[in-house]
Amino acid sequence: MSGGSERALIALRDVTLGYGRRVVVRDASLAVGPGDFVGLVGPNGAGKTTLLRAMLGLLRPKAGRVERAPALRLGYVPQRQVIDPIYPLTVRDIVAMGRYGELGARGRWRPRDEALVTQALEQVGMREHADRAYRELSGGQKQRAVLARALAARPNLLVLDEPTNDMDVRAESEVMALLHALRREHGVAIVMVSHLLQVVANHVETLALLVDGRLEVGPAGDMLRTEVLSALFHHHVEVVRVDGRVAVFTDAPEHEAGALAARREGSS
Amino acid sequence: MTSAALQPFQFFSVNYLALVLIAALCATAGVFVVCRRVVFIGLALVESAALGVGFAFWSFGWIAAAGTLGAWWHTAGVPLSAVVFALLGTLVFSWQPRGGRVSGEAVVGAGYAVAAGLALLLVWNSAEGLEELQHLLRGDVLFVRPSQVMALGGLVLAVFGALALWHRPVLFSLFDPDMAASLGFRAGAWQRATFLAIGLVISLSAWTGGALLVFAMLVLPAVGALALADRFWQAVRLAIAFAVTAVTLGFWLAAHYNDPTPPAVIAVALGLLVTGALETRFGLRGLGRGVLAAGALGTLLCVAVAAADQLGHPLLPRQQTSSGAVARASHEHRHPAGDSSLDKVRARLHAAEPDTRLAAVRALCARGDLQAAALLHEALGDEDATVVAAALEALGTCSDRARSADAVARAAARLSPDLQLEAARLLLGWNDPRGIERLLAILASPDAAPFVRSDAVALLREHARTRFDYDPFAPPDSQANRSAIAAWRHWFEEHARGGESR
Repeated sequence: MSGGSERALIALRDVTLGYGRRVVVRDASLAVGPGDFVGLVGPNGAGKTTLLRAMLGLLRPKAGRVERAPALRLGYVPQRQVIDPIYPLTVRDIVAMGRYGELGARGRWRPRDEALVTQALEQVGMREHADRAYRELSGGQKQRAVLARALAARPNLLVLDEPTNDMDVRAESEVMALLHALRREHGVAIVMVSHLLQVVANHVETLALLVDGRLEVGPAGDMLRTEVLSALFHHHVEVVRVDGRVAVFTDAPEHEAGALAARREGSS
Repeated sequence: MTSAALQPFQFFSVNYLALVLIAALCATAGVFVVCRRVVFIGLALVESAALGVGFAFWSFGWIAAAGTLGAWWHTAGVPLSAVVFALLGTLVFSWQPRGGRVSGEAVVGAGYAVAAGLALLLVWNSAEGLEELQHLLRGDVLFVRPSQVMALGGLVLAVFGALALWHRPVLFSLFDPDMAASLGFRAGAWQRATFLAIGLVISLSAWTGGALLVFAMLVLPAVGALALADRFWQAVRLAIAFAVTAVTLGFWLAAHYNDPTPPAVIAVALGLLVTGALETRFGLRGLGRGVLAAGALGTLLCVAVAAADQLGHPLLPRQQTSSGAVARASHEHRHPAGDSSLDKVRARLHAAEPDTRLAAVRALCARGDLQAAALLHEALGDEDATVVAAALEALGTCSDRARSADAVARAAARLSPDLQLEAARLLLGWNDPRGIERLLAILASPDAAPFVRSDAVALLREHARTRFDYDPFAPPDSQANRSAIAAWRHWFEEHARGGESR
């Protein structure tokens, strides 16, 4: 949850992030506790990945601090495009990497590690594909494989970077269902990064919106309102509730639509 | 293979072992380099090493060879600077710009161009520097020294030992550095260490075998192996099998068909790539892997032959009349211009400084093949007596009558009496009667100092086991000495030539 939860697994306190002299995110605060489901949403280039790298400990804040609970076990699911298919690796090879953190640089592979790899493969429904080459998988299967790798580390916080990017509707709903099941059955907290509000709107409890380098955090119910989102994005964003589900439309405002129509007529 | 077919691996055991070590190292590094999509890092690193060579020669212009430090720098500066610049290049070229305006590939390309240009600029006014640069870029494994093989062997132990211990963090940090870092690995440090090792492999291999061979062994085995393998470490094993098979067959073909080694190795590698393509394209499962397994086994046999020869327990009889001797002779004969190391020594034979020419003669003695003997024959015409004496000594150590007796006998007539004495001694060591003729000429020469004539007569007496009362301290044209010389000549015509004809 946002703010300063005492039981937070990870908490960003007024962090300012960037590269070199360039500031990408300013004075951002976010806390994630056990079982939370946080959606981190923002347009392309807003700084979502920068914020995520700070959570993972890959980027040192220019100001503020990142607090991690001693019990934190991070599972990171990168965008599957990050995984280069030129490496000849099977699904099992990739999932096994999730165990490397616990094994260390020279630890011996144990039967327990093998069992946890198999368990992770079963959790994402990829056991029968374990010995297939990663590069031969479909987009959805690849996403499941990298998710299984994160699960093999037995995380209590799962950070996913655009997990449904370029997926068809069915694969997308399967991934989301899987995340809900993990949260429900294993109490895993989830931070899901997406550039599409529509994707996370019906799934997350907490919404963290990153706009113009500022992070706005609040309960999804409060944030998912037309006036709030339109003010944040400086653009007309319409939120419609249909049978208890949220649909988000980013239609062009009427005056912009009118100007566009006038230009079309002029050119013809 | 018959034992005759294995002869090249025995005759050129050091060269072959160097090739196998280079192949194993570069193939392993190549899988990482190809997977990281920076294949041209190999060429760029060789140019970085060349820039190091250029820097060293440029520094010689303002650091005098005087003093302990200066002398040390003039001795060790070139190889040291080459390795340091290659390692610096590794750090630059392994950098992957994140979200920047240029790709990692562009960084490698820019580094290649800059290093090549600056290296040439730095050595342009130094003939010796240019030669050294040529040696690095076109180095030939046929002129490898045992110390280089030892260094490569040490690197093989270090690289494969490190991979056995740390294969997980090495692969993980290259494959997905962010995930590795999130699990507590120092991914950046592991990446730098991996690329430094690759830099060391490439620079040392290029120094020994030349840029073409190294680049080919870096890329071709990795490409073939990655097409066949489903798993990373399986790809590394297949790449090694591919590379050692290519160098073994290529080396054998080069020895038997008068081809230079690197192109022959590349031709074999192309054949292996086609075999692998047939397996993947037409589903001929096991074809490529089978060929590589057979090649690796054959390589083990050839390595055993070469290693046994080096350890002083040759597995095959050493006979110069075998096909191996023919192979050796043809191998030596076909690299008159392509052997840059020999070119370098040849250039030094014509240097202005007698000390440089003397060093060149000693280097030729260490090489000890047909081409070296031919250059030593040239050195017999040197104006400096020390150089000529060294050349005679070198021929006595590393050549034989069949190769050098005619040249020595021809040159001896133009030499001073003391050097004629050395030439005669050499000819007699080869049981060549022209040594006696030369000694008789010394006895008759008014220019020969008494102690030279004294040594000559002692040598004659030793061979003839008889004496004719020649007095070295009397003038050679004295009546007694002329009679003695005539008696020696008579004896020579009676015995020595007769013995020769028998």
